[in-house]
Amino acid sequence: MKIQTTALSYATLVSVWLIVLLTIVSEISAPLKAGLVSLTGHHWTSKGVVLILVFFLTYFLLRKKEDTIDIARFARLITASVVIGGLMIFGFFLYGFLGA
Amino acid sequence: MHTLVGLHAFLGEAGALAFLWVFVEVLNASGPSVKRAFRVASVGVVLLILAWIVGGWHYLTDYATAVKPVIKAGPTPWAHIVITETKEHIFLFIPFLAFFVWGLLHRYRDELMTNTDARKAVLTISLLVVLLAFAMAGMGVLISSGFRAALESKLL
Repeated sequence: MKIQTTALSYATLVSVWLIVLLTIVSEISAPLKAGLVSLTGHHWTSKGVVLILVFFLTYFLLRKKEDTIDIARFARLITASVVIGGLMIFGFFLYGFLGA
Repeated sequence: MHTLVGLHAFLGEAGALAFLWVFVEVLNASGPSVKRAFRVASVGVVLLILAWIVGGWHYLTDYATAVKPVIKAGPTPWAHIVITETKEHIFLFIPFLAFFVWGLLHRYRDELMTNTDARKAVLTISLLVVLLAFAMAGMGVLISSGFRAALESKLL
């Protein structure tokens, strides 16, 4: 089996931003959080399940895409996304605590 | 220390060390070192997934019922409200990044010595996995300190 770099890179990038999105939006939107809870019994478990499904779905959908990605550039993009996304999550909970 | 916390920390740090090993192997990539890097990354992915499961188990059971309420009622409620909430979500980046490195090593194992871009990508994301995993350990210390401070405030 040959792993498709383009599909893998996009699947990783989508997963990173989905973590950030689900984390922040589920804290703001009660219906989303309730929906996640109803899926597995706990919102955090559901986030994990959704992430795994989206990761493999993204890879599956893009698996035939040509493998011409600039992988070093994409690694920097993923790194920047993790740093920015991580700071957004930390900032969101810090703001929630200080503003409470 | 709770058994699950100890096991979670051990698995997470062992996973971090595995990706530090990958980083060093790929830094001076040769035929044997790339093969070793792939094998170590495979072990690292498994360790980090197990850390996810064990940590998640603790978070959803004992932490939720016995630790979280104590921290929130103690002198450092931010240990849960800010640190635990951040840790439980930022942690989710790690298994996907680890799997990404594993996938790159699988894809480029025959050309990593000559493909500088692929080597840079593996080095960058491996280091990111290491830094994030050690950041998780640091946050774990803050959470444990918050719990201890809450217990001490009850006793003293």
